[in-house]
Amino acid sequence: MMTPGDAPTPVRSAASSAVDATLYLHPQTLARLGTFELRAKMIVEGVMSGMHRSPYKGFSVEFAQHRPYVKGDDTRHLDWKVFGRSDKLYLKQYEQETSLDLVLLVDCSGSMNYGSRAFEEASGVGRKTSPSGQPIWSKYDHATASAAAFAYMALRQGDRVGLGVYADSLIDAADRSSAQGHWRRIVNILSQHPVGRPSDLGHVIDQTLAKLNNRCLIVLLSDFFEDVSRIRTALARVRHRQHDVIVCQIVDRQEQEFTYTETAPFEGLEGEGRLRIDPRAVRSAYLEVFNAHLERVEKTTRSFGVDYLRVGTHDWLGPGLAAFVARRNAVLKRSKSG
Amino acid sequence: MSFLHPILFAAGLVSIGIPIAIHLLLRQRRRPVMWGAMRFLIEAYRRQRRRLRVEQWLLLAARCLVVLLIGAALARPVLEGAGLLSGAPGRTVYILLDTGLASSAREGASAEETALDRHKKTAMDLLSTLGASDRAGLVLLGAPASAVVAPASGDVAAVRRLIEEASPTDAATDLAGAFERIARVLDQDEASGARPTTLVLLSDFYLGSADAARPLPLSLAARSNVRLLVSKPRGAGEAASNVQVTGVEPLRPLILTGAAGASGAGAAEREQVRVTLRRSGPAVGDSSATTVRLRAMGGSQVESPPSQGLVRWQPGQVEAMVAVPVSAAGGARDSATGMVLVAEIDRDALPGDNVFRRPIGVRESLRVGVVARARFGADTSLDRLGPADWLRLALRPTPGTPIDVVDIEPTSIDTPTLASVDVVFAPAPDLIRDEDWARLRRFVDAGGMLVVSPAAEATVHLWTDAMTRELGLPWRLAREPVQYPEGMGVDDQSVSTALLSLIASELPSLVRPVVVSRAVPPEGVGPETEVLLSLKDGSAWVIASSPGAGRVEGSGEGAGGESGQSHGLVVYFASAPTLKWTDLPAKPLMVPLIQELSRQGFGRASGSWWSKAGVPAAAPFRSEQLRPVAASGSESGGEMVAVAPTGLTTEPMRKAGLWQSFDEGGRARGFVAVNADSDAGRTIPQDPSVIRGWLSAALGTGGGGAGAGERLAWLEESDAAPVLAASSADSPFSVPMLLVVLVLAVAELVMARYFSHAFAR
Repeated sequence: MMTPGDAPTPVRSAASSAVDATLYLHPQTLARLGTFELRAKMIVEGVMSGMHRSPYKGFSVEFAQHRPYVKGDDTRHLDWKVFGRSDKLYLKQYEQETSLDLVLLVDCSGSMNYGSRAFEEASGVGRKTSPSGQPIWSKYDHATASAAAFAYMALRQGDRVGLGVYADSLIDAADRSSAQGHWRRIVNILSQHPVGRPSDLGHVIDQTLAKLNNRCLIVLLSDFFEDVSRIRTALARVRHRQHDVIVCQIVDRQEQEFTYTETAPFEGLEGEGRLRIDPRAVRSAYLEVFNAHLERVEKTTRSFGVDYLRVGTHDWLGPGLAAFVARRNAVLKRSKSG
Repeated sequence: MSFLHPILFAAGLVSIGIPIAIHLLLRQRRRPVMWGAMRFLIEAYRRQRRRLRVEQWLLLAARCLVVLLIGAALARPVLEGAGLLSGAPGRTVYILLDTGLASSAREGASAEETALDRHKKTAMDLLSTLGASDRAGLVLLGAPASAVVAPASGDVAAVRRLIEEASPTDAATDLAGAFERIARVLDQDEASGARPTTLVLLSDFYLGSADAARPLPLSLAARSNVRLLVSKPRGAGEAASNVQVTGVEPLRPLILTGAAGASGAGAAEREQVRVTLRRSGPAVGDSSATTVRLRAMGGSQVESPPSQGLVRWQPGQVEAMVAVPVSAAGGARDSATGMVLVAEIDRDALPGDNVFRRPIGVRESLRVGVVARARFGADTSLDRLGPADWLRLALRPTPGTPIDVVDIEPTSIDTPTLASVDVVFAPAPDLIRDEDWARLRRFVDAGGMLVVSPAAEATVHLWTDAMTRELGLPWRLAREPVQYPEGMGVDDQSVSTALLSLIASELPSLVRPVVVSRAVPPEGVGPETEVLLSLKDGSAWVIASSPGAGRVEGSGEGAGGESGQSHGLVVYFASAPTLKWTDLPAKPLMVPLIQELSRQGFGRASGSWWSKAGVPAAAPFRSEQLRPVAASGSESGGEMVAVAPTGLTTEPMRKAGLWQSFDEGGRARGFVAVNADSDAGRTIPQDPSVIRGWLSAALGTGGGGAGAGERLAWLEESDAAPVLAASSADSPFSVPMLLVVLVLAVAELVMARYFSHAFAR
């Protein structure tokens, strides 16, 4: 199995039977794929085909009750623990889960347009720019790939999926639906480019909550480059309405390591202006500030009982998807028991 | 602090710009990095900003200092009061080099070495003994003295080069000016003022260089730190003998060629020219002979064949004059540019004053305007002839007379008309309007001559106020004529021959029969007015003067040889030239008087443009620049000299030579000659005690007392070097500065490494 730190894998045909499923979760693999639809499909299929090794098996059914074994029943569903304790054969019965409303909120602010990996290098097939025309694999690319995958999986389970793309407000949105053509609409919205404005999560959450009347699983995909106090306020409102939340904070490796060595002017993607600095001179201070922000974001989200995932643009998407599946199951269980 | 090589220091100073330029250029070059996490970068920079700025400034300052100090160390700085470190303060030495006319004297005709060459050698020997902390200055004494290096400079090599390039001038030796300049420099340069200053005066002290009868200024008397080292005066046995041409005086300053002369048909009119010579030096006691060659040179570069005159010197004779005829025929006469008389003698010990150039004016004919009303009808009876008629007859008695008479109506006196005539007679001044007097004033200022006589018919002369006011004359006129019923004779004893020199010998007998019956005599005639003829009662009858107001004084030389700006001449006849006022028109004096007045007067008014070397030369009216003329008469490739609006050259002319002046439109205006200052060429040796007393007086130690012994010393030219002992061997600051540079360079490396944060983990 490939790990995130390994070198990009040589290109192999997606149709090959010998293909390693985790390859589909790597950015450089995703970068080869022209459309979101194709990316999402391959991500999900990769997860499913590797399920025999996954700890998250059985995500689509839920245990309901035992019943006595009768001849002809499938022995695979016998509960051997009960048999061991009572010498009686009982069969485990599963119930089809109820549906779940998933709301994806994808940050398309200016800072999401940053990426340090060249698209050409990532793709390895000679493609120099992304379908959106960018020469880099940006945080936004990573976020949209993840969001598309979440949506694809949810729609396959019959869940209703809603989508919002935002910066300082909702720029585009798709209402929750599980209709057949809804997938296409979600993919179209995700193809929005990041704008040059900063994000305002509080305002976006207010806009989103105004449309939600039942309990939902809200997935936030953003770099969360804004004040922590505002993030805290936004999450508090969400939790107050008893929605479940998964926070995916997407960061670039260069942002985390800041390995520039040449003195150069740095220009903000959200209109912060230009600053000419020697990066080596400010590196330590920058890393201190940046890591402190990440820690505060994580601490804040966890204080609300929210799942927090820090995803690097060079990392694979597996942990994010696994967290999503686990959280979805937990939500369903709670809603059923509650 | 000063530097031995200030240029190197300046280069170091300029080089500071290199690291700054690199710093600025690097700022411009990089492409911006588009950065998402800008808010954190700004926050990090905000925390580090003060430290980063300090680091950058420190680094830049270190780099600039390194460059500057390298330049400064190479420039070898010398700090005033360096004695604190080295034990011996630097000294200031000014070389006062005599480049006057006498400095070009050679002992014996075949000697190769001039006095200036000897003095240069002595100066070189002296400068070679100076140490690195000493400074040297240079003042050349050719008048006016020029402070070539002042204040003194540590760049002794440059001073040596300038001494090498020094050449003798044809001007006097301006020691007084040199003392004044140095005193001024010492006053301005406080640092030098406190240092011991040595003036090394190198001259032969001939009478022409150092006239002990003229005291020097006392500007250095109060400076006790100033010492004077003086080369010994030339002894009588070593002195050079010199014969010089001191003057060339043609009988007429203006030559009228007539129609034949203009056509070059060989009217070889021979003009008499007086050439004056003077000799000095040991040879004065001998009898000898000097040949004078005189030639006329025209603007068309044609020279007349030289004429020769011979002067036989008697033992003890110092001055001599010889009349030499010169043929100014053909092309040598050029009415556009005039002519130059060049008198030359054989080469002797002092060649600079062996040639004398004298420009003179040349005209085909003189154009004389007579301002009077036209008369209609011919009435030739003598008692009916008016003043204008008499003047016309006197001006042009025969058709061959080279004077053209132009009638000017009193109401049509305008600038074009006046520009076409040389002399204006105004026998009816009562008809001239006030504004026309102003025009006549401009005409006179431009070099014209105006002859005024009272209005014959007027009983009250109201025109006199306007005339004296507009012409700015230094005298005034009565409004009513003085009647002499018995007639008044002209004084034949008190005639001035300055303007009438050619008829001087006949003048008393010509004047004697003239009787005056009426006159408007001038009043308040001062010494600046030349009285040509007086009446027997003592009142002036014919006077000449130049317009007063607006006149720029020049430095004229000799009679008629003025180089100043006395453009124009006004002559006043106290009696109208008519028989009712005087019988002059019917007397033999009339024609020669009017003719000579017109010729000589205009010759003087239009000027003869020559001056002696050492002062700004005067140029003809409307001149813009002077271009040098080679000996052959053609323009040489020398430097041009600009002429200021005052009519004087913008810079003093130190070398003798011939120039041609040109106006704004490039038209030739005439020749301008600069001759050697003849007084400066007197090679008469002087007693050392006289020179010592003269110089001691300038130092305020007159009488040769104890103070004089300390501050004035003779310099042995053969062994001058030991006089100035060397001071410190080298600049005490160069090595420490280089060490500082080294330390700074290392510090810069460390800082550059540290501040780059390249090692930061």
